[in-house]
Amino acid sequence: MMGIHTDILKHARLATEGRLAKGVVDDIEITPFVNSDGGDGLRVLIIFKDGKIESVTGDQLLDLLLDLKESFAASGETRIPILEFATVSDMVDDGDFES
Amino acid sequence: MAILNPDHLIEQAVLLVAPRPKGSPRQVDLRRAISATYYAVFHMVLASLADEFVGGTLKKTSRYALVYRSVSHKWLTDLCDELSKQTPKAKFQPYLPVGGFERDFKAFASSVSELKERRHEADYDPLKRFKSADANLVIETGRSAIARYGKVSVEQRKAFLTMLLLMQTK
Repeated sequence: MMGIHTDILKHARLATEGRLAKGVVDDIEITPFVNSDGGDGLRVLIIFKDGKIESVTGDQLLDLLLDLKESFAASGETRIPILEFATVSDMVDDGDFES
Repeated sequence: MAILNPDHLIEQAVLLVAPRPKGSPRQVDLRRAISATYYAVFHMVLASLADEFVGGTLKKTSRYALVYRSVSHKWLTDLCDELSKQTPKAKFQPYLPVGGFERDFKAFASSVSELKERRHEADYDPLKRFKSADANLVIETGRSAIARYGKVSVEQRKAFLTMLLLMQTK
C-alpha cells in the first residue's frame, strides 16, 4: 500500500478551511486503506472540536469531498478519498464494543 | 418513488442514532443507520433509472423490476467516481452533457463511493467502532446527496442514467 505524500495533508487542510467555518476543525488525519473492491483509497478523518459538529451541514461535507477529490487529482493523487468524522472526545477510546 | 422509499430510509437512520435515555448509542444502531443511509441513495438512483426507462406508472411490472435490479453496487460506484472527475475517461466523453456535469451532480456522484465504503465498514468490519457524531454526519451527507441529485437538470440526469443502464460491464 502506498504511503501519504506530505502535500496531500496540505491539500486536505486547505480544502477543509475553504468549506468549513473557522474554529470548527481540530485536526485532520489521512491514512491509506484498501476499499471494498480491493482498490487503494485514502481515509480522511476530520476531527471536530467538541460542540462544533452541529453547525456542519451535509452540503458542506459533499462540497468538501468533491474539493478533496479534485485537489488530490490535480496533485497527481489517484486514490479516492473517503471522509470519516469524529470529535475530540471520540478520539479517547473507552473500549466499549457492546453491540 | 423507490420500493424502499429513500426518505423513509433516512428517517429510519435518524431514529436509530437518536440519543437513548441511558448510555451510549448501540453499535448495532449506528451501523444500521449508516447502512440505511447508503441504501437510501442507492434505491433513489435505481428508482430514478426505472422511472426513466420504463416509467413511474409501471412500477408493478416485471420490466420495471428488471431495470430496477440491473445495476450492481460496484458499477454505480465506478461510474459515479468516473463522472465526478474533471475529465472522465474517453469512452464516456461522447455521452457527457455539453459543458460537462454540473457541480450538483458531481457532489451527488462523489457521495456514492463515500457512502458505499462507510456502509461496507458498518456492515462487515468487526474492528471498527462507530460514534454518534460520525453516524450523524454520514446521514447528513446522504440526505444532501439525495437533495443535490434532485437539483440536477433533466438533461444531465438522463445522460447519467443512460450511461448507468447501458455501459455496465459484467
